[in-house]
Amino acid sequence: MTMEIDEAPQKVGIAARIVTPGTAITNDPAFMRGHGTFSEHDTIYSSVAGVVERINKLVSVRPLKQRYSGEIGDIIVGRITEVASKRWRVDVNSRQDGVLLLSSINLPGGIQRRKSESDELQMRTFFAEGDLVFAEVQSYFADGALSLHTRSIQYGKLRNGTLVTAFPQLVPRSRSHFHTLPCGVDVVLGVNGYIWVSKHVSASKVEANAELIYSDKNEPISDDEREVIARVANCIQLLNRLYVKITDTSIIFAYEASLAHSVKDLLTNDVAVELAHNVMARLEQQA
Amino acid sequence: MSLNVVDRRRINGPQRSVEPVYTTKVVDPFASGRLDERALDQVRPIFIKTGPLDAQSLSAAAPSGSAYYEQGKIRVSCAIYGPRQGRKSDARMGSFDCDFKYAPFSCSWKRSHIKTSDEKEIALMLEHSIAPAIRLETYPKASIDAFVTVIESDGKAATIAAAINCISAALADAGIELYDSVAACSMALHGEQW
Repeated sequence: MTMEIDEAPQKVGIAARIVTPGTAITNDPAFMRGHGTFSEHDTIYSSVAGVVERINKLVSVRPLKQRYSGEIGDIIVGRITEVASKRWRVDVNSRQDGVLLLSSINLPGGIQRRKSESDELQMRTFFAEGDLVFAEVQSYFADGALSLHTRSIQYGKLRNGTLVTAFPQLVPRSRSHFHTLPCGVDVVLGVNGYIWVSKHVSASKVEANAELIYSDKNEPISDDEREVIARVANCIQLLNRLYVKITDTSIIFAYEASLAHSVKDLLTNDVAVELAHNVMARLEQQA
Repeated sequence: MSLNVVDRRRINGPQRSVEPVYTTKVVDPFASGRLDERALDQVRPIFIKTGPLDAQSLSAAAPSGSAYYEQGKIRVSCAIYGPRQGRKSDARMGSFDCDFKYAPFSCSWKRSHIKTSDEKEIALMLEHSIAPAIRLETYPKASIDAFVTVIESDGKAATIAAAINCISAALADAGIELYDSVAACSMALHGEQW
């Protein structure tokens, strides 16, 4: 059985094509190489399995699956993995854990309060291992780790709900990532794929209890509220399974379509496919 | 690995078990092609499927990439975790670790649940063959872990080659930057012929 040697790379004509790692894309020196490529001896090769994309002179390869890599200004949801000296390490679903510095959080009792030594010694009273935090990416460290901050009343510790994990590429970046759905549930869409679904707590109530921003105590949540939260969580899950973009609009459409089924049926394949097609049709109609 | 070790947490099967012999006639392996009627220069037919271990439900513990590889009777599955936070916080390059395990039912005799030195040696072999193909300099401080499970085995060398191919497919599925995918096959020298 003879093996075919790879064809010589074409000088021009980089049409959108699917490549595997090691495929030569072009040897035209006019092109610059972007993500998902490497170059050797004037030839640009693909380093991932995916689709070749060309924007003007930039050639890159977009893989089918990609790890979340943060950008400054991203709104994310993360889980505290470690309490270190004057900082917390946060799992943000990326190549490296993010870092939340003690100087980047709001101290209870007003933003103007100075950080004291006793704050450094009792960091677990703010965030302990396993807590979920809603934060924004402030900057990068030298090694590429994300530096997070929660310096706004809307950010901070998450309570009263459940976490759903989705593909990061399904959560588009938009003006607002905190939504209150008409069914009475709050949704936090982390751009890193972590989504928090919780009982609705009015903003005025949050501001009134400035000292309780790091409390671990949940509000009392009734059975009906729990069912609504579970239904929304399952809707997000089925959107994720069928690769539909997760926005407040698509979640609302999915929720409305799901009311015909029981909450646990939303996890079955047939119902999931039916509802996802329903949502996609409505989204197209809207566009 | 002593055969006398008894695992107290499990109901133990017989200490020593061998596959029953069904045929009474003696077969010369190379007289007329191979035992499974392949030509001497023919590889076993290949089937690869990527993504069998993708998240089916709420779990955040799904691997970044996975692959299921079949080659004739050999069946191997691989899960890739990472790139994720590595143990060393001062490493300039990422690290690639491989874990290799035969399922207890995969060979024609029952294998132990505990990892043997054989499996550890094969894991190192897999690491040395795959790591050079990964662009580890683009993953500082991160670690990429591959977990290979042999579901059915058919010859040690051929199974190792299948494992290498399976890991390559899983790495591509995970979107990890590679210089090229690694392909492997096993050969034997019979007289003068490969």
